[in-house]
Amino acid sequence: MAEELKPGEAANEISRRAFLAALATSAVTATAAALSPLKGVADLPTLEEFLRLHYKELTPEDKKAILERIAAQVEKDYGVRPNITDPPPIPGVEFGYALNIGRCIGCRKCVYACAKENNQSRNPQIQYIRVLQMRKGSIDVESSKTDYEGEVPKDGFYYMPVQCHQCRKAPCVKACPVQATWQEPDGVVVIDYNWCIGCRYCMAACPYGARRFNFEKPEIPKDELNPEMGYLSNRPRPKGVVEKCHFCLHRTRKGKYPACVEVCPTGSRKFGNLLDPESEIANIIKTKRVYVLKEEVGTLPRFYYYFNL
Amino acid sequence: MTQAIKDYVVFVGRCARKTLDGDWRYYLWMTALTAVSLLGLNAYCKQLVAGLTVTGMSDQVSWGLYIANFTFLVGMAAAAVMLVVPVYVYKDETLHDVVIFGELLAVAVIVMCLLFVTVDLGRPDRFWHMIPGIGRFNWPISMLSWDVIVLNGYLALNAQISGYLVYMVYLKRKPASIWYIPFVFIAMFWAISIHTVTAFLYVGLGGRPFWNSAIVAPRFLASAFTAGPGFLILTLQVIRRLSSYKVTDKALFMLRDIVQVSMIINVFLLLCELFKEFYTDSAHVASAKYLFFGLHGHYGLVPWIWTAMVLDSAALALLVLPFSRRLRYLSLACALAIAGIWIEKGMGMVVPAFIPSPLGEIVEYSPTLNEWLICAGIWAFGMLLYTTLLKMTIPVLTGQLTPQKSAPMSIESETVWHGNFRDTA
Amino acid sequence: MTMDRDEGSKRIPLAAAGAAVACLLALAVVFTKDLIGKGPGRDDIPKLSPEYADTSTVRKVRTEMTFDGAPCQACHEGAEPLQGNPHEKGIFHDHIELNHGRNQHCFNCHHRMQPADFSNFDGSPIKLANIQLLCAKCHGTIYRDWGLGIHGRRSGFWDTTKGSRKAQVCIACHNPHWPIFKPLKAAPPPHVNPRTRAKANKAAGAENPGGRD
Repeated sequence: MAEELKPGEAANEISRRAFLAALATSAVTATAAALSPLKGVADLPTLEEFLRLHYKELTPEDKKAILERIAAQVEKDYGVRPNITDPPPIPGVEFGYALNIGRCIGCRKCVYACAKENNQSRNPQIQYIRVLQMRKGSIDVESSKTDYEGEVPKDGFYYMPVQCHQCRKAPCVKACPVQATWQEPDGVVVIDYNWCIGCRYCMAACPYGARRFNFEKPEIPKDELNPEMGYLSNRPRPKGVVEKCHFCLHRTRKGKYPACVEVCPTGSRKFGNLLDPESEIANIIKTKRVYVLKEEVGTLPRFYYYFNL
Repeated sequence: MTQAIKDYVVFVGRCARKTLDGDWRYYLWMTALTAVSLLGLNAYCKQLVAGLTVTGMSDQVSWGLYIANFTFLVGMAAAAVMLVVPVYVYKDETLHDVVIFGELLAVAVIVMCLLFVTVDLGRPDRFWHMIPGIGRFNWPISMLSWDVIVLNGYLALNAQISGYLVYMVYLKRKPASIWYIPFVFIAMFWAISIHTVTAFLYVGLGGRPFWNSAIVAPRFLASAFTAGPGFLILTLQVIRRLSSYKVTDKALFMLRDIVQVSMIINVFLLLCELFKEFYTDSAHVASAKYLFFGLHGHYGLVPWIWTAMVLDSAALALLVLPFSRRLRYLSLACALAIAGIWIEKGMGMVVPAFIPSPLGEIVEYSPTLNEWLICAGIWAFGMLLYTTLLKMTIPVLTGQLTPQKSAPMSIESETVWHGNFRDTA
Repeated sequence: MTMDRDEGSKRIPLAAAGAAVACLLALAVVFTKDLIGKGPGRDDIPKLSPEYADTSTVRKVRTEMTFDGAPCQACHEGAEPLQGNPHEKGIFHDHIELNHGRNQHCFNCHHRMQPADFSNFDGSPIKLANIQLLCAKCHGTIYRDWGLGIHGRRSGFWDTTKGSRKAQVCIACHNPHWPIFKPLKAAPPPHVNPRTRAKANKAAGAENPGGRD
């Protein structure tokens, strides 16, 4: 863009002062123009949202105010008044999950029941559960396929759904630089969507590919919104934060089964209190041969696979 | 005390004034950098509004070009230590007069690193959650929290050292050891630590076998000590051509020795890693296979890594052969090495660990135009900053910028400033 | 771009000055018109079909024994079962496909005398409401697992102090005449984001992005 100057043109000059003034003006103009996309910002945090404290430092009043604020926002965005709660962990309860890969047929109903229950973004699509179609004779996930279609189960394959394993030694919790994700006393690894900075280090750390990132503002049809919400679970997420399976905290802490357990047509999904020796999950670990995925990584999941025909 | 601060502000102000001086080439250079920075700024504004959806990243490949550049640049910043060690530990004077440029480069590059981290954040508005004491810092558990500390600490150390030394030259005063020697020695270890911590960021993840290798930190350091001094070789040639600051050939060739040895170690460590991956040929080789040869019909990174291999090999060959005793070839070798290492450490190190995903999915990654613009913008801004810093300091170092009300100049102080900081070691 | 040499020069060539200013102003136009760096496009993802999240069982559990709407007793008076080859008596039950292991005979399960009930080992009747006891005759270990919650579906409350738990019976999922679980049509596979798919398709031989054989 810079033309070569020949010595003869040297007289063709302007003063530096005038030039700098013109340059500064045009630079300011260009900068202002460069910033123009910011006009479209729609989800700027409010001051109180910006300044709020970490979940663990909130007083009950703070929490109430925050829940009220979120409820008002949801009502504004979706036209539905949500019942948003923050149920505490139940003392003496440690959640565990077992999945019977001998029974799972890979129909993916859990995937969609989960999306509906947990208000996951429909477009771009976010799903907590990935169902792997595995070749019989292999437990190597690299021989798996997730995009199968049509009638299931298919000959020669078995199915292994994967979601957050709620690891006892969770690499994601270690990774998070701001403690936006932590392990609750009942074993569930939760995320505070209002604290996460969106660095995605936890996603790199997770050996199960369980974490999802909101690359855009999530989109949920108004008529499909689930108004039964939990603060740490299925309330609508903002753009730019990570989310994942939380064992349907807002259901399970009130004694209910998670949505994926409720929907599974084959009864392959089992859920309960590991500390209760009579629970189905305790019975499975006691009487069945169970394994955990990628045991060699040492994450000690609370999610067990077993086979039983 | 207030007077001292006032004096310092006046000094910075006068230095800053110097950045307005220059001929038309200087202005065009700065305008071009500003223009590219603005392209990046504009692209980033779009990203802020729409979200990281304007990048090529996905749930499977959750880090891309931003973190790749970050990783490379941390190395460039750490490289200043390779100039400091000979001067301050071995009392070798060859590099004495150019150490300051390494430190200024570190300052500019760390700023770029911080920018790259910022643009990668999904919620930059919550950056303060990472500030120790105010936010909720997961230190010492999270390696990323270590990175925040070491990077900012390194920025502060280098700003202190270069700021102080240049000011002393300006005042024609002998620098007081207490104000910089401790910092210089802390910075030496700190430089190693910034890149080690950055490596540990990756190494610590058991779920990513491609990164989970003890050799990553040494590899990072070796490649950093190639790229950083290599970049300085290029910069110093520009400085001596365009300013009256004296940079000796001897200094350049000493840097060549550093680059040469580092490059040999870098390539050796790379070969060690490749042997481990491909000879073992366990399930963990998938990422390396994807990187070098493609996996199941997906070849996204193959052209990248072989470009890097060719560049690395060419640079290595040039550096070990006597050719590179000629500056033209040395510059070429440095440029090739920088480009090769940028790919090897960036796209070749960060991205393949995500492919295949932990669940065996192959989702490829290639940066979008928006992502490229943001990266180019940060690079341009970094260069803008470095040029500005050089422009501010060189007039001081060459003695053109002195305190206005010049105190009677004693013979002693004359000798002090003339050798820049020669007295110090 | 001299660093320090021509301090004295106070004049700038017009061409260079113009180029610099024009470059920045051109950029301003580019930004205002939004000429470069568009965000990625979006796909239409079909709305979720409600059936994907339907929690009902694959079969309806009948509450009374009928056939074509008529109670069993309408034909089977309950005194004696039909004698001889049932196929010669008519085609009423012909569309029942029996594919249940080695079971060839109706009365392996159905009660001979009380056609609305089922038969235990000792000939005593098992009511429809206790159908699991019938299945348990052969599938003892599964019955045990069912009782422990290991086999079969449970819904409602895992914590029975907070609400009731419902255990689905065998015939909610298994057709007693052909008990193997029938294939279902899988819900749609995960949508591959346009950001990554375009590249995946470009790569040679990538017929199945997001997974492979």
